[in-house]
Amino acid sequence: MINYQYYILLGAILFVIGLIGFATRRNMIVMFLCTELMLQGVVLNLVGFNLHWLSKGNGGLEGQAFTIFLLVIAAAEAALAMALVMVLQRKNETLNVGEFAELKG
Amino acid sequence: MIKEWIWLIPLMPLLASFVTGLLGAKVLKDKSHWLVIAGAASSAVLAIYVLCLTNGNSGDAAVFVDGFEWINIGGLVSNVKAMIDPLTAVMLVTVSVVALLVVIYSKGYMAGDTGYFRFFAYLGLFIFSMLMLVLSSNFLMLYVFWEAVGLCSYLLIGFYYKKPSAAAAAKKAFLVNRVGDFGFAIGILLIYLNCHTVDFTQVFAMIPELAKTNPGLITTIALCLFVGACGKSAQLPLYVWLPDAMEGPSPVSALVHAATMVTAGVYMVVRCGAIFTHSGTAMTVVAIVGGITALFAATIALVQTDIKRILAYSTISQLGYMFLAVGVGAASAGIFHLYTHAFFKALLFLAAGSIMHAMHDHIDLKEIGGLRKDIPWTHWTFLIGALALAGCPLLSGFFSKDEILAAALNHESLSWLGWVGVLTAGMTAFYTFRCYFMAFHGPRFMPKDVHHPHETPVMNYVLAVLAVGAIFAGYVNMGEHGWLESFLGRSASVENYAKLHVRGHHFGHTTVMFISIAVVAIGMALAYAIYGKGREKAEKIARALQAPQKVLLNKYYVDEGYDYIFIRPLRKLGDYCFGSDNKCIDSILWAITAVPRSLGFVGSLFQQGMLQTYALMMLFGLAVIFIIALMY
Repeated sequence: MINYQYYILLGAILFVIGLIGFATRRNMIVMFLCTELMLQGVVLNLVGFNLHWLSKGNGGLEGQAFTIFLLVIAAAEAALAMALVMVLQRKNETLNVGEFAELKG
Repeated sequence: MIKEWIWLIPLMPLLASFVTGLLGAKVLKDKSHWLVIAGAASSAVLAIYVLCLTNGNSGDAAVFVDGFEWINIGGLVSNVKAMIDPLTAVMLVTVSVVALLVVIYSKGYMAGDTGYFRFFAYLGLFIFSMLMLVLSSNFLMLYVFWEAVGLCSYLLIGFYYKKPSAAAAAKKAFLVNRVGDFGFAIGILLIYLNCHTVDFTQVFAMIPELAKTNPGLITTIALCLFVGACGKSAQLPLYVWLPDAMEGPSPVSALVHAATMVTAGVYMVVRCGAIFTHSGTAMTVVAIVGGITALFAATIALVQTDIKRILAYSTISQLGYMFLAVGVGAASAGIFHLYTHAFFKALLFLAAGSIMHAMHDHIDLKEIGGLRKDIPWTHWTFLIGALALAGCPLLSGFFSKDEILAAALNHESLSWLGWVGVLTAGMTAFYTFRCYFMAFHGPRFMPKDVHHPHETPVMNYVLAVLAVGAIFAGYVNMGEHGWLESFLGRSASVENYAKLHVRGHHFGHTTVMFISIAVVAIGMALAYAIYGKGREKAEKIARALQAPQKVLLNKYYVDEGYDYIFIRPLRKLGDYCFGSDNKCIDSILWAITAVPRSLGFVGSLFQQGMLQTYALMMLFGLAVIFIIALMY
C-alpha cells in the first residue's frame, strides 16, 4: 500500500502548480484551469488522509465519498464558469484578465 | 346661555376651509365657495346670537368657556378658553358679518380664477384665526392667532404668487409684521416674568399692584405691546406694508387689510386696557402715534392715483384715529369707529374691486374716469362709502369720528391732537371725494381693452347690503351715551379706559359736531372745485406745487429711507455671512474631511482591479499567517 504521505505530497505539488499558473497566466481559461488544478490538489488530500485512517483500522470511506461529491460540484461549477467566460469573451472580445479592471479603486 | 357651542363660531369656517382645501381641486372646483359661505354664515348667525345673549347679561358680562388644556409646563398654563364679554361680542359680529359679505362677493369677483378653491380655503382659515383671536382669553393664545392671521394675510396678499410684485408685497408684509411681533412677544414675556401667568383676568388683576411698585415696568410692557399693535395695525413707523398689501385680490383688501385683521392691534390695546391705563406715558404715546399716523397717511392719500392705494392710506389714517381715541381714553369710541369703519371701508374696497372687475384690473385714476353711467351700482355704493368715510352727517362714519374728535379735543393735555384729527378729517373728505370725482365724474375714458364694462349681480347685492350698513351702522350709538358705548362699557377692559379722568371740558358735543361738519364740507367743496368738472385745474395746481407733490407722490421717501437704513445694511450683512459661510466654515470642513479622504486615497492605491494582484496578496497574507502559526 502506498504511503499516504505521497498523496499529500502530490496534492501539494498540484496546488502549487495551480497557484503559480493562476498568478502568472493572463488568459482567463488557463487561470480557470489552474484553479481546478488547485482544487484537485486539495481534494487529493482528502483521499490521502482517508487512506491513513483506514490503515489505522478505524473510519469508513467518508473521504472518498467527499471527493466524489467535490468532483461533481467542480463539474457543475466548471460548466457555469465556462458560460461566464464565454459571455465575457463575447462582450469584450478578449480574455486577457488585465483588461477587466472595473473594480479599480 | 353661552356654552360649548361657542366653539362652533370659529370651527365652522375652519371645517369649511379644511374640506374646501382638501376637495376643492378635484371635487368642488367652481362650487368651492358654498362650504365657506355656509361656514361664515353660521358664524355670523351665532355671533349675533352671542351679542344678544351678552347684551342680556348684567354687570361685568365676561363669560368663560373652557376648551381644552393646551400648555401646562412648569407653571406656564395656557388653556384654550374662550372669553366672551361685550368687547368680544362686538368684534365677533363685526368680523363674521363683514366676512360673510366679503365671501359672498368673492363668489362673483373670483369666478374663473385658477386658484378659486384655494382662495376660499384661505379665507375660511383667515375667518377662523380672526374669530379665535378675539375669543382668546390669554396672551399666548392671542399671540398664536395673532400670528395665524398674519400667516393668512401673507397667503392672501401673495395669492397671485406668480406676479413678482405680489410675492414681494407678501414678503414685505410678513417681515414688517415680524418687527412688530418681536415687540409684542417681548411684552408677553415681560408679563409672564412678572405675573407668572398669561391669563387675561389674572394678569389684569395683578397690574394695579405692579403699577404701584414698579410703574416703569408697566410702561415698558405697554409700549412693547403697542409695538406689536403698530405692526399689525399699520401705524407709524411700521405702516409700510399695508399699501403694498393691495397687491392681493380686492376682497382680501376689504376683509383682511381694512375691516378685520388690521384692527386686531386696536382690539388688543383696548383689551389690555388694564395695562395701558396704568401708564400715562404709554397712553400719550398711543395717542400721539395714532394722531400723527392719521395725518401722515392722509397727506399721502391726497396725491395717490391708484384707488386701492388711496383707500389703503385712508385705512392707515382711520386706524390712526382709532389709536388716537384709545390713547385719549375713549376706547369705546375707538371700537365704535372700528365697527363702522369695517362696514364703509369694506364697502369702498369692494366697490373698488367692482371697478377693477369692470375695467379688466385697471384701477389707476390716470387710466379711468367718468364711469358713473357705466357702472351705476358701483357708483352709488362707492358714493355712500365715500360719504361715510368722509364723515358726512347722518352716515356711520360721522358718528364715530365725531366721538373721537370730541374725546381728543376735550383731553386735558393732548387737545392739540384733536386739532390734528380735525385737520385729518378735512383731508379725508378731500381725498375721498377727489377719488370719487376723478373715478366717476368728468370726461369719460377707460383703458383700450375694455369695451363693455359690466357689473356682476352677486357683487352688486353685497355692495348694496354694505351700503345699508355704512349708512345705518352708526345708529347703534346715537346720542351722548349710546347703546354701544354703555354696552362696551360693561367690558372690564373698556371700563378701565372709561374710569380714567382725563377730561378737561372745553368743547361741547354740538360744538365739535359743527367743527367737524365744517371741515368736512370744506374738504368736499374743495374736492368738487378742483376735480368736479375735469382735471385741468388739478394739473394747474400740481404744476404750481411741484416740490411738495413730488414728496407726497413718493410717500415721503419712507420706503427708500428704510431701504437705505435697514434693508441694504442687512443685505450686506447677509452677503457677508453667506461669504464667511462659504469661504471660512466650508474650508474648515474641507480640512476636516481631508483626513479620511487622504486615507481613502492611500487605500485605493491597492485596489488596482487586477485579479492576479489580489490573488498574490491573498497568498502573501496566507503565508504570513502560516509563518506566524508555525512560529508559535
